[in-house]
Amino acid sequence: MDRLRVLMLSWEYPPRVIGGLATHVKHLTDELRKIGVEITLLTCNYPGAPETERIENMTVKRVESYTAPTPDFASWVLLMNINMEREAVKTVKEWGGIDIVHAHDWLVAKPAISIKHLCRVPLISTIHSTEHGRRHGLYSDYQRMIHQIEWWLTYESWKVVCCSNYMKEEVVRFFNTPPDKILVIPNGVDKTQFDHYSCQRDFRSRYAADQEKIILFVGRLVPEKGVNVLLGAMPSVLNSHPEAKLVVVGEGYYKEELMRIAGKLSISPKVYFTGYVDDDTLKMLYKCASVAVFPSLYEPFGIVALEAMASGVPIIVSDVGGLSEIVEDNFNGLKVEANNSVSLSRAICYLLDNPEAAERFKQNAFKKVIEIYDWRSIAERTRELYLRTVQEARGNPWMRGNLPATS
Amino acid sequence: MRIVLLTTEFPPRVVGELSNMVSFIARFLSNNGFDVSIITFDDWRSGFEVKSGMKVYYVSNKVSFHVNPFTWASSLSCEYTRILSDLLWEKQGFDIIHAFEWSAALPLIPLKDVIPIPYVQSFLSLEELRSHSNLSLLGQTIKWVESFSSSLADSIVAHSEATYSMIRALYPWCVKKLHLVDFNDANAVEKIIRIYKEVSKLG
Repeated sequence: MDRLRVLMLSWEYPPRVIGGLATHVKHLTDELRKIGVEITLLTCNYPGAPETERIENMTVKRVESYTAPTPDFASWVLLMNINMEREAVKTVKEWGGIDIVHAHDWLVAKPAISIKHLCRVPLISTIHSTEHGRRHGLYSDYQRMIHQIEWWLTYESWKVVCCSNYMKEEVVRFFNTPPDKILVIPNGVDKTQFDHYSCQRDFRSRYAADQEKIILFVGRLVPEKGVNVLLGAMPSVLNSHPEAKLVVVGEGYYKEELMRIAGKLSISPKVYFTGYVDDDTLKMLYKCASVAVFPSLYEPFGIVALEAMASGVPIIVSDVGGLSEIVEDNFNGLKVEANNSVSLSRAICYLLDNPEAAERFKQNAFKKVIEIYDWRSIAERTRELYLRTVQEARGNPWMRGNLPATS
Repeated sequence: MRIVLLTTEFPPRVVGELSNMVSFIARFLSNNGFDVSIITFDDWRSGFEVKSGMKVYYVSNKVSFHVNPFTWASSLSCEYTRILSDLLWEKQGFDIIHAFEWSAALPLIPLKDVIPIPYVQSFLSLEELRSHSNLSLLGQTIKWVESFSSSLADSIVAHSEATYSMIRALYPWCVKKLHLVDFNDANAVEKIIRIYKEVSKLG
């Protein structure tokens, strides 16, 4: 086929970065356009960001998302969806048809499903996480509603992409999605992003004293990230390694509670909550850390662990979800039991005591980044999926790929 | 003339006055030679039937848990889009779309710019009236939908004096396309047909 035209929908795209989704979509679209896929990405507007941006054969359109007051987040999402759908229809008209609509998560399910039916075009969805998984169950109508929207998106999709086998199993279990409808394509990491960064003494001294060894956590400060478990491990770590210093990077509604826990454990002077940091600072922090720890209780993928691997810092992860698939225990990092502070403190002490093991893990981890988690190969697998889907859809008399003509 | 009526209430689903009013209009139109399709919500079934010459498409909401009427109407609107698309693809289109209340306007907002089919919007009431001008956040969201759909519609029909006056006050830019059609008036449906003819290319 001459050109592959993909209408991609994601509520996050830089500079609007809420979680890992923005980074995923940015890298994926960057590589897809480099291998010739024509993309229009619809996303939410952001102060200072242009309404329309053209990057080679890709167009980013940022739609108005603060249209009217809404009573809750889901209502805001559904209101934003109206504007996104309007822009999607206009894009199809401008293009004179599309080949694929690709939706990322439930927040864009409604416009994606509408476009699928209106233009009779195959829908591909990427499910980055599930409400059931994020909440460890469904306890309110609000959560059940989001869960059903997620199910609806998978139901309407031609193919569903998950970033790990763990997520695939979750989607099959929660939504009864046929396993052969799901394709696992991992997240990736830009292996060159740390090339020009090193640990500068002046910079490091802002976070730890010269003799202190930095134990780094990066992520949203929400219960599912398990930072409370890491705090629980610190008294024991500090007992044998008084030179350790925990640096917690990130923001979230759980931050105050975590600070309270640190106070209760009498480790506040040894824990530094940095809050949100910019990209350069984060990269230098990775370079200064002795060990990076990701003690999540729920983690569909865990892109921060990949970033740590690319930066050359040895990692410890909890044995859950996607993290468990990224790390091969005692080869490219250490795995510990989730929600177990004792197990975690032992692993931290092991890495601080064994620099040779830490070095081996770092090297093996970087090799894995190159071999498996390179964005170019991920984009190529995604393009293959698009092409296969278009090929399959071609035989289906229902498919049209354009707006209906009106009499 | 091929008319599509969008409503969330149609017999046997009767919640308020809307259901019987839409049914009355539909039957009158059908009896007078109009080709009438109705897309409506049904709690228990989805499908299609021909009822006294009218084609009735029942859709159910794919999402059964909701936190407010806006989330309910939003997810339901996708099913309306699906049927409208089928009608456009399979039946070579139609001449008028007539939506009743804000909840049925939602699927038309994204389509109006690109599908040039005349669009009539009916309001029995407005959120401003229902809330006695004491709008909650949800009320403000619904009011936004009412306002936006009014701006897009080719014609607006108010079905009571109070609604008519409120639309005039809230959306003065709509006055030129605003009509009062009170169903206590014996010629109500004839007035609606005149509106259809005004906005339709066939008119």
